[in-house]
Amino acid sequence: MIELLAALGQAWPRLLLYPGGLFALGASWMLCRWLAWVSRQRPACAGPVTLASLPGLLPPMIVLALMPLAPARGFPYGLDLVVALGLLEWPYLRRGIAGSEKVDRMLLLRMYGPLLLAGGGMAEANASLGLSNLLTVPEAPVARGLLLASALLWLASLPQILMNPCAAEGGCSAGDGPKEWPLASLAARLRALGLVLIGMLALLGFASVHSEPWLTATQAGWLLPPLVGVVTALLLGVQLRMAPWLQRFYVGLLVVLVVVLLVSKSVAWLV
Amino acid sequence: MMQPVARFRFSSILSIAAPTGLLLVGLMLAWLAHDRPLAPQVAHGWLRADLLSALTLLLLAGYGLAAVVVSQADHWRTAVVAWCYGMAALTGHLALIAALVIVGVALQPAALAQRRLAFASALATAGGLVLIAVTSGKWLYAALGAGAGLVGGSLVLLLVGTVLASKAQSHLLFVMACYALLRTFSLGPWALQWLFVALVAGTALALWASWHATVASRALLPGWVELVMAGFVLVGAGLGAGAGVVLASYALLIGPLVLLARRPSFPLPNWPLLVLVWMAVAAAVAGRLTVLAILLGLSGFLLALALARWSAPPLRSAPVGRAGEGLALVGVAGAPLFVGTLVGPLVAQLQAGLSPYGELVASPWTGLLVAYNAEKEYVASLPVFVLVALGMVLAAAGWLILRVIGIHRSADKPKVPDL
Repeated sequence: MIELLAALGQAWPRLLLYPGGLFALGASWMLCRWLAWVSRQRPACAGPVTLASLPGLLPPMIVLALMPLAPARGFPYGLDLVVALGLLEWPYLRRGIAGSEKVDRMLLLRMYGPLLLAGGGMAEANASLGLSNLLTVPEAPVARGLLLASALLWLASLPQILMNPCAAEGGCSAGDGPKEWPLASLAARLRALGLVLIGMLALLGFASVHSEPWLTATQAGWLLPPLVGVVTALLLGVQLRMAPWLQRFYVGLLVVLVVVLLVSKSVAWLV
Repeated sequence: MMQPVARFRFSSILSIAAPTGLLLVGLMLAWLAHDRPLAPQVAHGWLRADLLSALTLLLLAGYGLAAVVVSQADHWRTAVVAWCYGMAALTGHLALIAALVIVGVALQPAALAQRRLAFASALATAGGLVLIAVTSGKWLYAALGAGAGLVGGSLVLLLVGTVLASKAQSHLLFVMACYALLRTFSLGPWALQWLFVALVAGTALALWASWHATVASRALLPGWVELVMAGFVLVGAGLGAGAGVVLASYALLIGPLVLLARRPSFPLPNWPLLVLVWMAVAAAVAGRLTVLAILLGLSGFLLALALARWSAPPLRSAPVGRAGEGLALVGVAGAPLFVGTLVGPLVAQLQAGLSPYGELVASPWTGLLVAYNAEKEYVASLPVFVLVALGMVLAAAGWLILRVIGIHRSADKPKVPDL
């Protein structure tokens, strides 16, 4: 019990400053502006946050606060992919489809199927679901390729999930902006930032492996997260500007690649 | 005129007292059999109880009490059937267990629909148990060499019994079928192909049921959710490892909450079901079965859609709804305690039949659930208490900030002079 209290005492900087708190608010605002600029839409202002919208804000904020990002100090009670995805998506799904008469299962599966496959690929590459394990790049070339392809597939499936206003978010609660802009509410922005950061973690691992000869661990901790963050945002921007057929082709190609690598990795482990 | 009133009182007292008694016996047994199974010498193996028996008694009590709340008629029969199955969980003689399973299904409430399915399930379960005894030549399951009876026929019969019991929606029988299925692990390990059959059957059942649950009406939803959970129980058995047993036990533990949700005013236990999905995916990844983990994740996603659709019941503020949410919260916060104190030692007692491919452990005082693989490497973690504590801290901070901003905003407004 004392161990738990001590760990919670160390979580204050994470909750208030980085990677949660002020950083999360600022970065999610910047991500929203960037995505709006790229997709040539007008970003609607977030309405005032009310007490009623707090339950939707808390789960994504907790995920962001516990994200294993340097230079924040490590936290002994880390999250894994399933818990993070659950905390990010459950309030969103609940807000979107609670009480709706009909659910378009096929549309939702088309949206979330590649994301779930990418999550499975990342789990298989490191034989672990832990978010902190995404930062370690495996030795074997097949596993390495699987991790990279899965991370790219994760990011490739995000435009569908983030920019699709009609899929799940049917009824907007009080405090949300106009319906056309899907990232109007603060909860939706924090969710978007969380999903992007999870995809970024694996890229961060690759960047730290390749920069090892030139940078010390402390320098890498300060330099790499903003650099890789910018690269990830640029990648998202490119995907959003792609023609729809090219985007579908890109996602399909990555799905095939991940499935092939997943099967070969599993077979290699069994044999 | 007096007689019906007296009968009603007697049966209602019996229907509450009998499951409560079972609950107390189960708790006592969990304490007594914590370190090693209870098998008194004088009983010559006919009486044998370990933590799996204790867990079964607790589950029978939970389902019995939930059935009393949900259903209208034949409460005393439910109580008698629960005690009958409870006795079956306490004996070490396979023929006696099989006989009690059939007696229990014959005594089940007459109002139960799908009686034939229930009978077929009981016959399959009893047949599986008897086949184990006949093949191995040992009628006491704790006897040396009883594991020789774990042949394909007996395992298939037990699996079929479990699936039929879940399809018949006969909850007490389902608990008993799961008891028989998990009991086989104290006899010895399953052959690899039968583990695979259980995995395929469980995953198919979970996917099929969650696909239908997504568009089901509120009245039918608990039935589909129970089928998804039955699929997870089969997957837990098919994993044949400690993590699988934890998954199956937790699925059975939150079953009474789903049964209670058959009352429209009682909400479905959303958070415990999401914890269950986490356990399923974590156990599959710990067993290095990533394809299974993806399929279970898909099933969990469809289940989450179904739950999200009905997550705001109209009678949210009613006391029953609040009680339901309180019970769901207890189900989540109690998960590390349940896994750490009851299922952990239970897995140790079933060790004879379990493989090391996946272990799910909990530290009850820090609320951390962790899955490890065969190499004892960390696979997944769910820090329940940390999430709850951080949520409370953030909610308090958010509330405070909103209050301060609200006060400033109201101070900006021009004051209306008092008249």
